[in-house]
Order: sequence, then structure tokens, then C-alpha cells
Amino acid sequence: MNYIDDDSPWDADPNPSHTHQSEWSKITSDFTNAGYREGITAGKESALQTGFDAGYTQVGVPLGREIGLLRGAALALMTFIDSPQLLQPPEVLAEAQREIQSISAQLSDIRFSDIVPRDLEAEAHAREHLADDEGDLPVNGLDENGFVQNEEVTERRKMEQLEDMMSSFGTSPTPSSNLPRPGPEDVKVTRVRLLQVARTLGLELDLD
Amino acid sequence: MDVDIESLVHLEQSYAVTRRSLLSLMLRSRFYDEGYKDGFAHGRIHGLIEGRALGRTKGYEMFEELGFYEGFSLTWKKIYESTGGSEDRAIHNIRVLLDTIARFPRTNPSSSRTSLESDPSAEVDIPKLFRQIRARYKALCAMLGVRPSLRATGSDFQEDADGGESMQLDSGSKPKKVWEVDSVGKRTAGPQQLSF
Repeated sequence: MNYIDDDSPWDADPNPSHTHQSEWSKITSDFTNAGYREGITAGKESALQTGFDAGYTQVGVPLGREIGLLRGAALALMTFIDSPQLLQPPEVLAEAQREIQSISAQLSDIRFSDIVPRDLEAEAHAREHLADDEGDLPVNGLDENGFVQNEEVTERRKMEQLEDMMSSFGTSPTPSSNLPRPGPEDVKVTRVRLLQVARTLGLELDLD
Repeated sequence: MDVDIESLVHLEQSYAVTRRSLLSLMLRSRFYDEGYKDGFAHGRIHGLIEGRALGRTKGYEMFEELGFYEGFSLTWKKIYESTGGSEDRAIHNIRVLLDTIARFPRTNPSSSRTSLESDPSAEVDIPKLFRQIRARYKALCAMLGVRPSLRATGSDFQEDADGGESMQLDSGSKPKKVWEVDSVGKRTAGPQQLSF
């Protein structure tokens, strides 16, 4: 009587070629995956600095400087407007002061995330990940929306969400969280307004 | 002829083992290399993306502050020019401040490392430069009778209580001249930690 059925793991392999094939695939995929894992780490490290330098020079510096210049100029004008040297009529000065305050408020509301251009390559790559469904590989750095995930950027985004929440607790009848966020176009408009108000005070500013 | 069957069997077995080992090595090399190549290409894309995101953030943070000092100084310079003001000390301070800000690198020095190696005098001490710029700005504000604050226009930045760096500048004894990615040997710190 045969006590060992066909499915028993103790049984001799009924299909040796099949086993051989699966062992072969396992070995090759193990080697490939091991290489892939080490390759991805090495590749990432080899490119981080290049990416950092490009992001710093092409986007971070010009964008930050643009906003900084406007904010600094707005503060300078704000401190200058009380100067006794200004001979403009009081109503002109009062109007200029209101305009500078409004510009300052607008500038202080602008965040990096409002004006930073999209990283199209990152978004395209995130879409590839979604299509390939390579979740089992040790690949990360992008979330499902294509945004780059790293601790600092994530922390910043969380902080901004918190700020939005806090402002919605205020007494303002129209919480700022309900208003659309400013964008690059608003920076341009604010810049024109700032140069205009400086002109009314007799200053031709060059903020390039 | 006296043939030792046992030794023949042994020889054949060791030959088979050697052949298997060789085959295994070749396989390992071939499939590992293929995987490594694909992984490296994929990793480069991720490295570029993550590096770019960090470079954008850091560049923005630093120049949001530096641009603020620059815009403030430029405007006051213009005010003095247009009103014929003769505040010599303030004008002098503005010029020095603008010159110092202009020395701040707008490209990461690491990308021109070869030129730095050939000319060490071209190296920039970032934390020191930042300290000088902040001190100059404070001095200018004192001369103008303005309260030195980045918050006047709602900037996200503020200096530490002790007047130190608000950004993660390396305060080690050896000043860093470039923004460097952690080397492979220091991987525990995480590849995201680009140092300043």
C-alpha cells in the first residue's frame, strides 16, 4: 500500500525538468535582484550631487533671490516712507504706505511650494513607477503623485498644512485656507506694484 | 592494468563540483552585472530627482534670506542716491554688504571642484560669509534706525537666539567649502543629508 500521495513533499520529484527550471529562474532572479539593489544605491549616490547642484543653481537660487529682493525692497520702502525728506502730499504718502503694506502681506504669503516649477522628469518617472508597479523593489523617493519624498520636503509640506489649519482658526471671516494660493504670476504682479509704488516716492528701482 | 575505480569516481565528482562552481560564478557575474547595470541607471534617475529637490530647497532658503538683504540694501542705496543723502557710513556699509552678498556662490562650488583644487584661494567659507552678511545687515539697520528683522515682511527665517546660523551649516572646526553628498562610507546618515 502506498502511503505517500503525489503531493507529498517527501515524494521524489515527479517532474525533474520543471524543478530544474524553477531553480534556475530563482537563482538568476536572485542574482539579478542583488545586482539591481546594489546598482540602484550606487547609481543614486553617483547622481545626488549633480542633481543638487542643478536644483540649487537653476531653480533654488534665482527663485529665492527674486522673492528675497522684493521683500527686502518692500521693507526698505516701508521704513523710508516715514522719512521727512519725502515731499509728496500726505494723501499720496498714505496711499503709498497702504500699497506697500499690501505688497508686504502678499509677499509674506508666498511660499516656496507656491512658485517652484514642477519637476517634470520626477513626475514622468513617478508615472512610470505606477505603470510598472515595481513596488517590491527597493525604490522610493517619489510618492503616488510624483512628488519627491524626502524628510525635509515632507516636513515642510506638513508645516505648511499646519499653518493653513491655524489660519483657518482665526477670526477672519474668510479663512485664508479657502483662498487660492499665490503663484508665479502673482510674484510678477507684485513686483510691478512694488516698482510702481517706489516710482511714486521718486525711486527708480532696479531689482534684477 | 590496475585501475582504482574509487579514485576515478572521486575525480569525476570533484570535476563536477568544480564545473558547477565555475558555472555558478559565471552566472552570478552575468546576472548580477545585468541587474547592477539596470539598477544603476534607475538609481541615477532617483538620485538626480532627489538631489534636485534638495538643491532647489536649499538654494531657495539661502537666497530668500540673502536676496532680502540685497533688496533692502539696493533700495536704501537708491534712496541715498536720489535724495542726495550723505550718510557716508551707511553708504559705505551698503557697498560692503552688497559686495559680500555678490561673493556668495550662486552655483554650488562642488561643480567646479577641479578649479578649486588648482586654485585654493577660490574657496569660499560659506558659514563665515553668512555671518559677515548678517552682521553687516544688522549694522546697517542700526545706522538707519531700523529694527533688524527678517520677520518684517513675514519671512520664514529667523536667526537663532544666539545669533547663530538658522540653516544647517556645518559648525565643525573645519569649515566646509562645498555642499557634499555623504560618501558611501557614511551611508547611515542617509543619502538625503547633503551637508553645507
